[in-house]
Amino acid sequence: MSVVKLQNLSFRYLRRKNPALKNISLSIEKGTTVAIMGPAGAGKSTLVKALIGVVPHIDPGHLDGDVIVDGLNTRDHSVPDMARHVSLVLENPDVQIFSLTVKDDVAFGPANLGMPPDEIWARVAYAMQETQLVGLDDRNPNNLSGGEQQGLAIAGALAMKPHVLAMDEPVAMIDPVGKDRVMSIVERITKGDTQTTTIITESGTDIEALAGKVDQVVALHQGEVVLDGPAREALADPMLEEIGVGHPQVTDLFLKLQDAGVKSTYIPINLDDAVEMLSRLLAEVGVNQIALPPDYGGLTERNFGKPIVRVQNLHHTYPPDVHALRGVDLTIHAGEIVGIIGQNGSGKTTMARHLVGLLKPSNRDAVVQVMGRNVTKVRFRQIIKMINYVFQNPDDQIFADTVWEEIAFAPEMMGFSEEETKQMVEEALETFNLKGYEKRYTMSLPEDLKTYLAIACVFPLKPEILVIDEPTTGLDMKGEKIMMHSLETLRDAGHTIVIITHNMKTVARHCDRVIVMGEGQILLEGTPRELFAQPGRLLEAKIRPPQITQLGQRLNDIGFPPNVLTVDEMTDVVLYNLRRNRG
Amino acid sequence: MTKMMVVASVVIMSGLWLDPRYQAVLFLLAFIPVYVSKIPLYWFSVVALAVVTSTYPVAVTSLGQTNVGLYKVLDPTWATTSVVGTDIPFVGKLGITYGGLMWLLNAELRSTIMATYMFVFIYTTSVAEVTDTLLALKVPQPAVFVISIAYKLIPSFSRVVEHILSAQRLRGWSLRHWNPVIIVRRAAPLMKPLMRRVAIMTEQITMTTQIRGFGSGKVTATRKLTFTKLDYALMAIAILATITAVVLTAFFNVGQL
Repeated sequence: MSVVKLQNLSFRYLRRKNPALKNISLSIEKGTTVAIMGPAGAGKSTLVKALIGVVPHIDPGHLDGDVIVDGLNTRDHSVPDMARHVSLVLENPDVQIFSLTVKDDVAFGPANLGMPPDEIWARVAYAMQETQLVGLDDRNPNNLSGGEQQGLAIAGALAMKPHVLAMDEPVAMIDPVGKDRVMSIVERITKGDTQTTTIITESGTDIEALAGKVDQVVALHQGEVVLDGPAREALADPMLEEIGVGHPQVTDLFLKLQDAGVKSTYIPINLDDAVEMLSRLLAEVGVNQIALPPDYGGLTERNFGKPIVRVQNLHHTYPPDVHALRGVDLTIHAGEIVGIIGQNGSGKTTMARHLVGLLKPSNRDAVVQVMGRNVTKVRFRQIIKMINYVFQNPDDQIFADTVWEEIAFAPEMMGFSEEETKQMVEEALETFNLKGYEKRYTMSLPEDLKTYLAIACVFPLKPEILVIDEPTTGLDMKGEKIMMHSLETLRDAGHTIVIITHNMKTVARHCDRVIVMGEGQILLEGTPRELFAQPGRLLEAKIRPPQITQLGQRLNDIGFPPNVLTVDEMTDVVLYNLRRNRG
Repeated sequence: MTKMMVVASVVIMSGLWLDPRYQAVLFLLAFIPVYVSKIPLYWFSVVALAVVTSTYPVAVTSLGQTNVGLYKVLDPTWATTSVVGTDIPFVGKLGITYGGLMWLLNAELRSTIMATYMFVFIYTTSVAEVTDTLLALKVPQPAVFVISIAYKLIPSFSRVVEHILSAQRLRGWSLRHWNPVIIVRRAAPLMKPLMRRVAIMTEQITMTTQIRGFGSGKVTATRKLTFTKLDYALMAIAILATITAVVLTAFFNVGQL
């Protein structure tokens, strides 16, 4: 039975020229999990907002066609009325949490629906059970981990007992273990007694987290449905690659093997299936023990310059008594790309803010040295020429009318001449792929270009070290490639890049060194190859290696290396062994 | 309810008084709730921003004030006497008066006091508690809805201000300049992203509250209001202090300049 029906749905936001959704017809069955996939700007968020009537009742625009959820046409019902049937969880849990305790927050929705108190608390108990929040009843939501906060947002939605639960990129902002937690909640509520239909949007970065849990995949591109089918077929469809979403890493591996002439009975979309299929493939040709290709892992070790950042015994306490950093010791070398990873709230951003002088250590004996100078004693305008920091949200800094003016702002503020400013802006445009956009109105830029612009804005100050918070968040596969290519170009030109990220694929592919933080301390550090080979220790920091690395680890008993970093590496290992045994 | 009454009392008194000496008492008392609530200091970046941005317009209207009719308590001659001044051809005498200085100091203290008490209240009270209290006070549902949205917005607003300030400082931005016209122009990198973020946040919070069913009809209060002896005592003090202040100000010019 269809619980969601979209009939020729088109939608154009007010004062926008192009429609966000074009003639979409879809049918979603009860008790299924559906992934709405597409690159940035494809119309995914608009689509899920249409399910509860946010579009057009709160976000106005011109809507054609019908959205029928649980038998109700969203045209005829307000958002609060639809909330009894369908709920929406957003990417950022912060805007969805309203109370000072977990249980009060879960109760907020049912209380708004005017339910009797007994029913409210019964629903709170049910929702907290489903989302594994039992025992956290009186905790302040601000003190929960990212995964737990998103779990709380889902609990708040579940307490409304919706038949349809829509989620807009629910795992984008949380750590790998948090992502698994959220997806296991989704699996439980969909397959459990309530048979809640869940609809999740995804731009590709976290496709592995969803792949094994969804039944149906709908791909959008420029507001149109370009793919709709069962997950097993759709996730291996070349269309996902074409529109910039990509495939799960294990699917990508088998597609690459297929291109190389290795046939498998089906293309796996999750880790368990991939382990089984790869074991079978190798056994069929008599490979019992894996041999490594001669050039395996040879290209990733790099030599770096002298230490450029030195941190010793750094403590930081936020009032009243939140110990965000507990004695951090850290060295960063010139010319490396360093990834800082860790659970939400592990101290990554706090540590990075000390490097640029935005925060001062809480202890007097702390050392924070950049390029041999103590940042606590250097004037801020000097610091930002040595090291700079780019915030995660470009909207925090963009203000000028045009891209050119935005980039020219920093050199103008620092007193550079008109000629020097012009030269600096040209260079930044070139480096960050913004050539041709100089005169574009900044607010009309798509999200990926806004992210490039945010970095380009500090680039003219020529900082030796650039710290970037979540540079790939909100970017699709293509956007991520462009971004990381730009950063690698900077690294190759001698700059040192520090990125704070939850994206383990980015870390594996692009970082020279990784620092793992947990509870305000540095738990582990090393090259991605060294680190990702220690899944047990990473798990303590709520981190999981990329899916392709996990595949090697699951097959470690037949000799697969535990430190495969990319799909290409794994493809080489598999092909080398298949060809060797086939002669 | 108790916190609401205490804050309302302080806001009324601070709003009534024009004499910075009276405001100073409320200002000093504000340190107690700030210390007890352990409110993060970065929240006060908004207070600083409000005080700095309001200084200029308040200063323009107050500093050179020479209207003797404005002063009911202070000696008008002293209040309108220039601390510093100069004669400008065709324009006349321009200067800063003692009364004007007190007026300005009062306005700045008032902004700081009101924002501080409001922030302590917001930091220690959830949306659900505010909603329950307003419902108990029989405030109409649409008003409760609007207050709840505004209420949720303020803590996020402080964080956004801090982020934007930091992001722009990292690009070499600074408000400091000798030329007031340039200072005003330099507010753009701060105000434009701020306005945009506030609009986005307002939209998001409006959306999320409605998604959680707010506005669908009668809301159930999840807690019953209960009062301790301390609550009764504080509420009584707040009411008494407010009435006394209003009477003394209206009939005896207490707290006026």
